[in-house]
Amino acid sequence: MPIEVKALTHVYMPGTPFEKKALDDVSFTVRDGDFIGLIGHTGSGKSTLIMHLNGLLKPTSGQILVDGLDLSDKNVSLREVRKRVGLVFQYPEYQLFEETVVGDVMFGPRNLGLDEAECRARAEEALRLVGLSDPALWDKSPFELSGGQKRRTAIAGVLAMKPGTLILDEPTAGLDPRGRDGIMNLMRDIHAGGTTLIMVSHSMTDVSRLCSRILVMNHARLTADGAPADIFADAARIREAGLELPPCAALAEKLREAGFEGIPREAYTQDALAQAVLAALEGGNP
Amino acid sequence: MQITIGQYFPGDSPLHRMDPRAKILFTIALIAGVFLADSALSYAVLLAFVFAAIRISRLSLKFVVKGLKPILFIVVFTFIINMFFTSGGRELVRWRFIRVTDSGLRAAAFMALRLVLLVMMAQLLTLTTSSIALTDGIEALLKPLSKIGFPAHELAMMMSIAMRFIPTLMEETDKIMKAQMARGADFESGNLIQRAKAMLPLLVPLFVSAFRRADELALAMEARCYRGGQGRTRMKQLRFTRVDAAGAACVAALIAVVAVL
Amino acid sequence: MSIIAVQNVFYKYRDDTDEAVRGVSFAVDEGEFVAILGANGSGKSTLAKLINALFIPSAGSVTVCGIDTRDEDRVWEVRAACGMVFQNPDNQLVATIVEEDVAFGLENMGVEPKEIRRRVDEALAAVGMSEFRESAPHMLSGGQKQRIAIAGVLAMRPRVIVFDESTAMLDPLGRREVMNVVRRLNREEGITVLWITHFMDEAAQADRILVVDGGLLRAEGAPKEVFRQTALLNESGLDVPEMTSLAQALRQGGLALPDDILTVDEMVVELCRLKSKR
Repeated sequence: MPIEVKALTHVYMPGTPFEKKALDDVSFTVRDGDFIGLIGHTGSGKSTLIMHLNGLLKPTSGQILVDGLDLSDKNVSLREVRKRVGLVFQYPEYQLFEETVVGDVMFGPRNLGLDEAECRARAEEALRLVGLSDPALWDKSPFELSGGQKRRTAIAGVLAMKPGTLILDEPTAGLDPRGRDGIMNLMRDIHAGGTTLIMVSHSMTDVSRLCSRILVMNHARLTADGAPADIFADAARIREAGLELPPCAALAEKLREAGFEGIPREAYTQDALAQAVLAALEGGNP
Repeated sequence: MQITIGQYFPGDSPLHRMDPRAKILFTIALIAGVFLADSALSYAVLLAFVFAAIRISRLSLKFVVKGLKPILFIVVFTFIINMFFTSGGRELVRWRFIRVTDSGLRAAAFMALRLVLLVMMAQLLTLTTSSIALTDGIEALLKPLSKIGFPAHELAMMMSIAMRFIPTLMEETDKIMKAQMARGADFESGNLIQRAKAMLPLLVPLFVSAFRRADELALAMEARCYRGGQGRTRMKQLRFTRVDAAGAACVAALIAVVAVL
Repeated sequence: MSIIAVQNVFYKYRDDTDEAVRGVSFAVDEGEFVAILGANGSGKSTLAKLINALFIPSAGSVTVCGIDTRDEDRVWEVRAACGMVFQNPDNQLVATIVEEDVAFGLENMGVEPKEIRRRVDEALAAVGMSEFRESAPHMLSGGQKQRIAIAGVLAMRPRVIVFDESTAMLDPLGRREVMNVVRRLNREEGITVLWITHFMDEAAQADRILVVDGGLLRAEGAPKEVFRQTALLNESGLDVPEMTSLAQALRQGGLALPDDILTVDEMVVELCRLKSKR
């Protein structure tokens, strides 16, 4: 199992007037090959949760296992954990610092103790994977790149560490439609390559298009864990979590309420919904 | 470590209500008074004054004393140096080649007391005056100098923008640190040189980001018609009131007493 | 007379770069809510800064409230009449507490202190942030910070406010908060709004949309007219609202749907109409 989370609770600043329970008894298991969408209102604990998964934060209580390694075990090196679980923060382009693009991407592998040749090879591979395959770009300063290119460089920096599980926090934040499509395709490619993905997102549409499994956070608790079809079918629970259905799922719900038959739960994406609607109207349903 | 100089505790005491310009001037006067003091009695009077001021401002004495902890080492060090190395005076104690004289003891006590008094006076100022009020006070006091070309307004604007962004930059530092740690960076182990090198992935993004912020902020300020200090008014007006007059009288009296004693 | 008149405007960042804006012309009437839609690098932000005289055109002219932005003596009048709210919530707040930041513009204009106090209170109330008067900016959420930025501009009593991607860095709640405030200001106070964005669902709420791509104005019209032009929008690196593209797919499947559906509710109405016919 890539990651197991058991009864995870995290309290910020315990014993002070600012005490806040950010995570309350959260349990779930990440399976190989999952593409998980982690959704929830702002402040529901999503960011806190993902920072526990690579050991950046320590639980107040509960247990986290990464590939069988217990994060609370003092003998477990965090380097081993971060080798297995990569984390790309929001607006990752703000962490670029090296003199060259390829140099920045080599930072991660270097920290893993790999030799220079291996670091370079991994960096070039990662840069090609994110679509920055022109070698002329590699020796440029990262600060000369466009916003979208910078973001890809930052993602390559984490991919170069070859984590089995990749966590991304709002990977499409601040991007225009073209940029968003580019990143979504990149994530599909990474997932297809065998990496387990966890994506924190506010975009219900992105989540509905990419994810095979959805976790819903609501005020520090994990209130739902299942396939998108099942999660979107429970509109009340989505709204209660301070979220909205993606437009196609919302339409599906309203059509069912209006008496349309044959609109299955799985019809939450545009293609599936179009098919279902055409079938419903053609069949001459009353 | 408790750094209490620079932390503001809101309240409604007379000291809180004093004009910041007055408080800054009083603090300067009090500091002068400390250096004028040269008898046990004058130090006693100064101490009594400071304790009275702490009481009036309803600050916790325990808290103020705790704030002396950072300088404890210096105070003790000063005491010892002065005690053993002041020449002249009647010998009190002797052990091998170490001698303690009465004038040595006196000098030590005075020096130590001076340090304690200076720090407590600074605390009185910063604990009862918010950072904005302090900047406003400094700007107002320095304004006359702008006639001879001293950039009083620009200085005050720089200080207040810096203060506004300190918490924001601290948050950003934390984010960058975590992002680099997620890539295996280690900020904790290694010798001094290794740790210094490890700071590069933290400092470069921070500085780049700070410059970008400055650019964007400048544009936003221009969009709101900022064009330097000329012709600017202030929403919050500084005003001298009775509390300030009372404070002035007390401080003046104190200086007179200390100078005489 | 239009409140904003942009005539054949060109802008170059530096002599050795391409033009970011190439011969754009349009006019805005007082009280309108106009969205400028474009992908990154389309020139929309440059256009925004040309309107409140932060940038001066290299050719062509921009006239705001009757004042030509090239008139150096009247630049401050232009900026007082045409305020701007930027994209990054943090990098436009300059003071250590909220009410001082809202007062900043008025202090720069040399307004009398009691009047500043009055307008600051009014502006904070207009954006619903009065209780945060004495808060420090860094304690606020993104949406709250943007509302403070709006208040800071509002206090200057502008006739036009340009919003340069003001919701791009906000979460959905923050975006809704800001959009609600802006729509209310437009409807109730009659403030002309220029809304720069790449979000389709926001542009769909405007009276009129201008589509910008490669420094050129590619399309102009009411949302329903603009979103019909899916090919042009795709070329410009933009999307159409999901319902619009779903409607297109359904039409291709044989359903007789109108080509100007934008929202879920409109779609439901049309589909139910079709259903009842069968």
